[in-house]
Amino acid sequence: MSSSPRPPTGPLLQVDGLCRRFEGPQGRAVLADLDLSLAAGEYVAIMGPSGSGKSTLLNVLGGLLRPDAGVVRLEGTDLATLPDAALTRLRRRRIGFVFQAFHLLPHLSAAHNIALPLQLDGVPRPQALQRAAQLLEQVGLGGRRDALPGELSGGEVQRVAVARALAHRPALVLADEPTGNLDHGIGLRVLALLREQLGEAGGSGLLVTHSLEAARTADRILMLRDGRLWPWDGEGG
Amino acid sequence: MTTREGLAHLRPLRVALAGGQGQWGRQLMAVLAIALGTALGVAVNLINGAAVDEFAAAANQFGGAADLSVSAGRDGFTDAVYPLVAALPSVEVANPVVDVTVLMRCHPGKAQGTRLLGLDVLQAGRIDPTAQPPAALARALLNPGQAAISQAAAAALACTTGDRLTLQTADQTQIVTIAGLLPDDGSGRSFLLLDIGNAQEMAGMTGRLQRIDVRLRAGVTPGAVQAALRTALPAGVQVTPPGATGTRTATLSRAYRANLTVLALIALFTGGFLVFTTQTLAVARRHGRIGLMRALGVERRQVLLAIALEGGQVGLAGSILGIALGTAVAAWALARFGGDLGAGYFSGSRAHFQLDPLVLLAFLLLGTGCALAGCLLPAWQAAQTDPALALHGGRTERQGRSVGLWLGGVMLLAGALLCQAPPVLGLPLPGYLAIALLLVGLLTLLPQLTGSILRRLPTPAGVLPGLALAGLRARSRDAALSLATIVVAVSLVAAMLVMIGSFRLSLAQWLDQVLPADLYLRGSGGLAGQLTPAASDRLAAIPGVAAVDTLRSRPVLLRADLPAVSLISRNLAIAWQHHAIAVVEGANPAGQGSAPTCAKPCAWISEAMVDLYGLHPGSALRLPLDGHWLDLQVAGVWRDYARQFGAVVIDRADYQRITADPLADDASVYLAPGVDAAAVAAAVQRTLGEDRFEVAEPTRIKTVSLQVFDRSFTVTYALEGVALLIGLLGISAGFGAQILARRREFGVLVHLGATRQQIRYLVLWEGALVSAIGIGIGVASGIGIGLILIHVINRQSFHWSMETHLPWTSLAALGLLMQVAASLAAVLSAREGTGPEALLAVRDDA
Ligand SMILES: Nc1ncnc2c1ncn2[C@@H]1O[C@H](COP(=O)(O)OP(=O)(O)OP(=O)(O)O)[C@@H](O)[C@H]1O
Ligand SMILES: [Mg+2]
Repeated sequence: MSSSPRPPTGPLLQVDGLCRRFEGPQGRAVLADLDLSLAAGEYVAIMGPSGSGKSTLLNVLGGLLRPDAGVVRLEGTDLATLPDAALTRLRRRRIGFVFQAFHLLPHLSAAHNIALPLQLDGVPRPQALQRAAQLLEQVGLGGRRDALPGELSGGEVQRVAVARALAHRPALVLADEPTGNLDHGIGLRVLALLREQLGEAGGSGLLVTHSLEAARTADRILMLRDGRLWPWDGEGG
Repeated sequence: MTTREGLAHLRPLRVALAGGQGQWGRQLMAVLAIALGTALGVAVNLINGAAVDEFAAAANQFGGAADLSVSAGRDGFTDAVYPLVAALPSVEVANPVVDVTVLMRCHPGKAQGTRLLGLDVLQAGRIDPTAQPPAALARALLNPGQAAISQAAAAALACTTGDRLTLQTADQTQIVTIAGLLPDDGSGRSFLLLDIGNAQEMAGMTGRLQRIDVRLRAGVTPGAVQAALRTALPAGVQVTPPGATGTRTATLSRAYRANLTVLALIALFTGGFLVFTTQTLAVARRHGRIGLMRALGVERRQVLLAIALEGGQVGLAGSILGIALGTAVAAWALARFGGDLGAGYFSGSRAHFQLDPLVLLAFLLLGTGCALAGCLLPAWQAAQTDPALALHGGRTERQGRSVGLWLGGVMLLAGALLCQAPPVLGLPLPGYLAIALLLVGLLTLLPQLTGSILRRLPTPAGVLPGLALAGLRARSRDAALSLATIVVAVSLVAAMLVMIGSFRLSLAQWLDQVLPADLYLRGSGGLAGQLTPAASDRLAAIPGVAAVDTLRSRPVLLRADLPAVSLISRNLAIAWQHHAIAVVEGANPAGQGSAPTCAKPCAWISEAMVDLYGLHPGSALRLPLDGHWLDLQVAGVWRDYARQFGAVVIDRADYQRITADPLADDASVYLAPGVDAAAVAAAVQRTLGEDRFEVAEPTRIKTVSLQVFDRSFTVTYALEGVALLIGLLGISAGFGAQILARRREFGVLVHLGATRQQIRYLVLWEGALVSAIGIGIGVASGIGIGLILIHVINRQSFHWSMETHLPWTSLAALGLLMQVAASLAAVLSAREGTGPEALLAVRDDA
């Protein structure tokens, strides 16, 4: 059980009794009565065996999957009460994603990739590109503005992806094994960057990772097992 | 490895390559495209076949069993020829035939133009037993004034045995008695049968015959007799196998039929391109799997065979479906429109539907072959897959970018050169080949062309259009693939629009020029509808008539393998004064007072005479007429949209000086100023007899002519519609395949907060951009192909020229229609890629 004290303003993210199962022959509940509370500005790592439901959890928190039961509140709003369009708008404005496989659009330059979420939200292109340039500067890629993803190294690509996740100043960044495809050392540097940028923006973060070393960059570590989150007991990963 | 083993080994490979999401739907589209193309080809072919069979049968009736036939066209020849033919030792039987149309009436009321057949009733059966009347009736027919009537004619004229029947020709009226009804032979033919001598008298054909049917003694070859007779016969009298008439009449519509067939084949060809698109995309999508199979030890040729087999299956399924569909359509169309599909070539004939297994087999092979050809290149590419690269997600870069440019350029050049070539077998085959080469060349260049257009487009301001353009630029090769089918379809339709638009405008202008008179008089009822000098005088004397240009038209056979040329004699002074002849080359005295001076009588020939007989201004021209030779000199060439096998115009005075033929077939009537045309028309009909002449004002003739024109192109609109449909299927298949491959991209966009609506707009923008480019290229190449249709295909098919007229309104309408339809097709086919489950496709595998 998470046990962080409730700040007077209420937690940024509050999850109570979350259940999610997938149809199919095995049809088991991947997430079963899961609780989680995340304070504003908090940065938490989630670990767990493969197939334990980490990605599923992030998808539910990001409003991409609807829970079967339970309540997910982001900044006090119950996601279940939101219609699809509002959920999408919430995702566009308040949530940022970082993926294991980076997923930059290969035909857009680094700057355009970062500007894209802003533009999708209606920010005019010049402003969006200005913000992208600023972020590129912050992640140390100021000179690679017009580079296509194919022309960047894995670490550089993931730095662009981090910048993209932060472009719209989200309240919560969901990162699913962001360093899984990166060299160990480079992965840690990207994570440090993510942490630093999040801290500057005052956003919260949920980091899913298989690496204990990576998890240790977080404020606290939770284990996902049997459909629930447990405080990490300091053993294994 | 033996072939059998090879095929057995293919099964696991094919299972491994089979399936894939949405693959079924696209295969179905490819099957449908091949089916539609095949169906069109089958339908057009069956309909044509039925019509030509029927027409040949009609042309050969009564003469079909003969070995040779002596004839000289509608007006016949002197019967002095008969003893010449009959006396030849190699001739066993020679049957003289009178075959004319006269006006008949049994009862007071409207008379009808009906066929009058004169045969030697005692020996007609020696050549064709079905032509032999029963013995008692035959004996009765030997008496003067006796006739037998076919069941159909009896019904049409409401006559029966014992009735008296009035026969009317140009200058005489005769009465015959119906001696009996001929037994029903099931043919439904409508005619009156007289003994040959009576027929000559009653039809005003004394001393003349239309035909002599000849049966040769056993062992005699027709060729030898033909040669012997040719020297003995008067000018213009031909000896041909009886099928020649049918062949000549079939030749009349041959170019039209060839045009339709080629249109249908282009539709099939478009279907082949759709197979190419789907298979190329399917191969690209299965790149990893193919690489894996290669890594597991599958040979190159097995991959090739497996992919080719997929195409073969599509082709086979498509052509079987198409044959069924085409047969059904043909049966329906024959019942509904008749064998000429409304073009007016076979009016009056009733086509019967017959399935020709050879034709069906040919189309089975054609459809399957098209699909196979369509998947050869993708199959080859699949076989080239480098297993190591493919497993790491890389694509084997297809070399041959510059080869493509080169090849495309060469094909375009070859196409342009072929446009200069003369027709082959009387058909514009090089022109059709040129069109095919231009299309294939264009498609070869399409990736480069699409890429350079996309690069040149300015980046739009909006996020979605910008995203769409960036995506398309990155995938211009795939985009070009989705374009291929729509480019072919739009080119084809745009080309037809350009050709039909130019033709229609030229026809309208031509009609305006050649119909300057106030009223036109045309004979009906066969021989009765000919103007005698007395009738012409009565016509000229009608109050309000200022001038009359009487016109005599005689068919003249110049070549046994071609339909007759029309020799037209008219009052040229009047014609020139009113610019009534559309001269395009040589002397044009229109509007001038003086006619050119010629060594022989001046003749103006239609464009077809230039193409078919190699004549030019200044050439000497000899026409056989009534056993004489008419020596003329070509003064000029005129445009004639009415007679595609040629016409010669000479002055009436020249004609009458040579032939002493006083009759005329048509008349152009010019009225005094301020006279009411309708009143004069009524007076003309009263004076000359309503049954024998039709009187029409030029506006009416123009309207009817344009209606006939439009009707004859109706069926091409159906063909074009199908081509457009196949083009849309191509866009749809291309987009469907790409969207599937791009589900991850859409998944990312969803994570970034793009609404489903925005993703649909993105696809809509891409679809709109791609189709706009395809339509643009298609319209441009369509205009080029249209020019080939106008100046090469049509000129060589129908031997007439036309002005080029680009119908911008219809082209714009076509573009707009296809733009909307293709954009919608893109969005619809992208549904499976943008549905809810696709939004989670940001999986980190693959
Ligand atoms: N769309 C789906 N349909 C059916 N089952 C699914 C679906 N997505 C996930 N699952 C199942 O849910 C379980 C949890 O999957 P999830 O992807 O959340 O695991 P994970 O913890 O992210 O694993 P990993 O560390 O390997 O990424 C797995 O057993 C998986 O098979
Ligand atoms: Mg996962």
